Amino acid sequence: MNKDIQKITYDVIVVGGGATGAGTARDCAKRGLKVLLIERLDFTAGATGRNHGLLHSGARYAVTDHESATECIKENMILRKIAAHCVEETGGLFVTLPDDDLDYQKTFIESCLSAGINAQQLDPKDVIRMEPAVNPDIIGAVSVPDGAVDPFRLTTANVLDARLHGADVLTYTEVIELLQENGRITGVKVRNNISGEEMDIHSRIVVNAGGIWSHGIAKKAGITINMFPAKGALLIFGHRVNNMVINRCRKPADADILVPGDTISLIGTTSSRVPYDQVDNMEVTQEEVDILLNQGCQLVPSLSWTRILRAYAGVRPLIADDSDPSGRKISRGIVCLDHATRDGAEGFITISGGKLMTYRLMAETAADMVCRKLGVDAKCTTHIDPLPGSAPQNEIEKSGKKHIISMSTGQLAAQERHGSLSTNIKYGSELDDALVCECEQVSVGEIKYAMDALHVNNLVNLRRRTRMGMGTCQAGICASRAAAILGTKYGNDRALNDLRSFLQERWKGIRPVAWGRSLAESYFTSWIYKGVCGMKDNEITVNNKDNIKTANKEA
Amino acid sequence: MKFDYIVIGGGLCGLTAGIRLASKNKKVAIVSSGQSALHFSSGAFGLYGYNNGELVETPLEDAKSLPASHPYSIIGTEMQALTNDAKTLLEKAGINLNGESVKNHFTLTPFGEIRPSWLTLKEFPVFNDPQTLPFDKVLAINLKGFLESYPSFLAENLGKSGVAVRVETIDLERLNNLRKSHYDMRTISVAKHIDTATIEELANKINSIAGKSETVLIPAIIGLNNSNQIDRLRELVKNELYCIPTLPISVGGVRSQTRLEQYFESLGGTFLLGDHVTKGIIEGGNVKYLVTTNLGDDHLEAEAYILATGSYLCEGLLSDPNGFKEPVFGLDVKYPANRDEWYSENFFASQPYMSYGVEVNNEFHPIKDGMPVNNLYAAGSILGHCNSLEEDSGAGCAMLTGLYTADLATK
Repeated sequence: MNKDIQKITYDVIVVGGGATGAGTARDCAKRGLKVLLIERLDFTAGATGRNHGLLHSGARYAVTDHESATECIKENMILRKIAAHCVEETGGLFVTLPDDDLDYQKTFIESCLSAGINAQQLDPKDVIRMEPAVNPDIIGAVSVPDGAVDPFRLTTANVLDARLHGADVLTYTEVIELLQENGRITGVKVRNNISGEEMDIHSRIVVNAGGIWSHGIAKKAGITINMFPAKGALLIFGHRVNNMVINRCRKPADADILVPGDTISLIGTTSSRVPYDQVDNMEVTQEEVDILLNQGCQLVPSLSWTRILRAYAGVRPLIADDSDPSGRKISRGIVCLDHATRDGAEGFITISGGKLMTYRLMAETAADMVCRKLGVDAKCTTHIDPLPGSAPQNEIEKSGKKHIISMSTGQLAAQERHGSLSTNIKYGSELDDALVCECEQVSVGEIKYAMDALHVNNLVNLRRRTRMGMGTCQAGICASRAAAILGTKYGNDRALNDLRSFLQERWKGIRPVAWGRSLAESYFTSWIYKGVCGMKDNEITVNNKDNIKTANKEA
Repeated sequence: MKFDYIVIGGGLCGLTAGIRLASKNKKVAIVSSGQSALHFSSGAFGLYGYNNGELVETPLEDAKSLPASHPYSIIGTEMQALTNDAKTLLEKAGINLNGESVKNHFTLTPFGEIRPSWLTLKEFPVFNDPQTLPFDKVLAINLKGFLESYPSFLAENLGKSGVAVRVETIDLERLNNLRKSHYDMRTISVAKHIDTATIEELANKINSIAGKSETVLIPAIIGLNNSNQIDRLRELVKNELYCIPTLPISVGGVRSQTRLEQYFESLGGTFLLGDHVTKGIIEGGNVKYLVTTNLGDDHLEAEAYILATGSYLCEGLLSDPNGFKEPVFGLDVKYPANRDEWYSENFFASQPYMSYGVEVNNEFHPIKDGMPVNNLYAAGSILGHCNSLEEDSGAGCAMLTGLYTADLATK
């Protein structure tokens, strides 16, 4: 850990490496503040990386929550401009199935229009041609400006821009104490979760952007925020079955949104209340898988024979409303708490509620409050300034030949992932062009770029930055190749331990849906690593944590 | 088409059974849909390597304590004789091996982990004591741009056992063109590119960098069809030289498969490659005929049939959210109704689903709807009550049940 950080007094420390935290760090840094962003694990490790990746038009909330719907459509239009490389403009549909009440469609369209969402009624016959995956029995359909957004890229782009504007960024750094002086929060005591080192870092303001973990962070200062942990489970299908977002036109319920993203499709979500002490142990249950599959097949029948790659669950960071048992009627509106007025703790802010779609607005709200408190007069520009990677792509194309084969498929895939930043990846040498991950076309050069520039400590980080191991082989083939490259930076002992953890992490998401080709693939992965390579469980080897500590010091 | 015997599945088990039957002058066909698990094996054949995570030293002796439902227990007293027959069969096919069934030896994995083995291809290092490696100074070589071999991991793990490992990369001119493709620096493509001149180039380069007392370890990229190139390289290199398996598909596995197929055909067997048995018709407790993709209405008929279609990897067993099934005959497979019981949370722990498979009686006749099918035998990894990955018994189970069912069928 860089001890020099202790000598600095930051203007603001932002706690939480999700979209909101990264966005807040970016916004504050762009307004000229000295910023430190800290995350206890990796960026997007919480709810940011565990949702639909849906670029909401707001239509989903139009009937029940006008305010959220209005916020969504505004942010939707902003993200298309500032985060072009993270967004795919797929368009969306709200379809009515024979079992659904067609009268709801009218209310739905009216609500959308009043929120400024361009909802248009379509003839179901035309819709079946526009989106052949949709259940052909639909009796109604409405088009809305939904799309897909990649939360991993979006968060990384915010982190990169924060850094470009002078912010410091620490991952695997957990707040263990909020420093206080005369009732004022003056910084944080942190622990490096890899090395175990602890240190105090000082700041004028601390922003708590910890998602569902905000509750625990505030508690360290004796402040109570009543969070409402609402678990949402999703399934990832092995290929992209639909091209448009398909929603069910009814009151929000389980498994009524199917989103295409990159090479896959995602169905979700369920909603169930979970105890606060379980938010770190999200397992998808058999019942949830069955509900998602059953409901998903009604929307798109081909899902019944499409391979399921994984199941995962996130926890929505809602502010609790104990009067509603299902968790669906709560406005997911933005909550920005000034703990000075609320709890008498000056220098401490919590930004929560909201959703991935409104992360930028949440960041703006928090940054506004920070600036007010610090007496800084600087306007927010994040709704206008493009994020790194989002620059128009035609300049890259001009530099090479026009024809598509002037770039390798790996290069094209990397351009999809990193936008205009993909020019930072080394190409042209045989060694750098070699593919590590064939499913997602990730080259050695892209892995090296991510390791150097994108805060990569382990294979899970690498997966989130590059999609390595996210494809149909679920890392069975590429994990060892990537681990060997990681070993050149962090040492081979740590790389081998990390490989074990990575295979465990992959299995956790496969296990709830391990049948058919997914089971065969897992069997093959076990065969390779346990059989051919003779790998054993972490617990059987020497103390894993100590190894990581040693390796880190050497690195 | 009529044969005396038909074997469904052309992997290690099916070929072993087919060779045994063909050696008895029977008219035999093997139906193989393509790549088998043998292609993916590393070149070390396990008989019985682990018992609940503990190393097994004497596999034949320890196998006697396995549960009565385990395939080895059904074979019973003939185990030892069959292990000898299996080794002879492999040698006759031109597969050169070290090892005996009375006592396991040890060899190295691609990551330098020490694993037990029954029979190991001769180019790999073998040793009798897992605590004592047969070398103390090693030169571990990789090829430039080759991602399927892990000398740095090998060095890490061997280092823990007190072996000094030096890692070097060699650039072979013959592979320059191959490296230009982003996909092709994989084991089998590399192996296909290695010719006599490349062996000499490799030997010269090894000789120029190897220190006096260093044992040289190279990735197993040589000898897709036979061991001649390896023997030549070993002649040319001054130092002691061994191969270390790569990640699959492996050269040792492909060579073993190729040699066995050729041996089977040299005995007059018919190898129906690229065909797939879609259905087996059972009437009155006997298989009447088989339907295949390529033959259509021209059914396959035989006196007796051996089902050696493998497990999940080769689709001998299929699964869906409701359970597990054997797709050709719809044979009985036992498994718990609750999906959660099929798996262990820990990826590296014993996975219950791996021991599911078809039920057989004590003559390896599989059970369908509670009744045995009289002219059908099941063999190899399709059998239930055997977790071959956990036990490291995959090759042993494939070969011994292959031989045993072939003998039962001809009795």
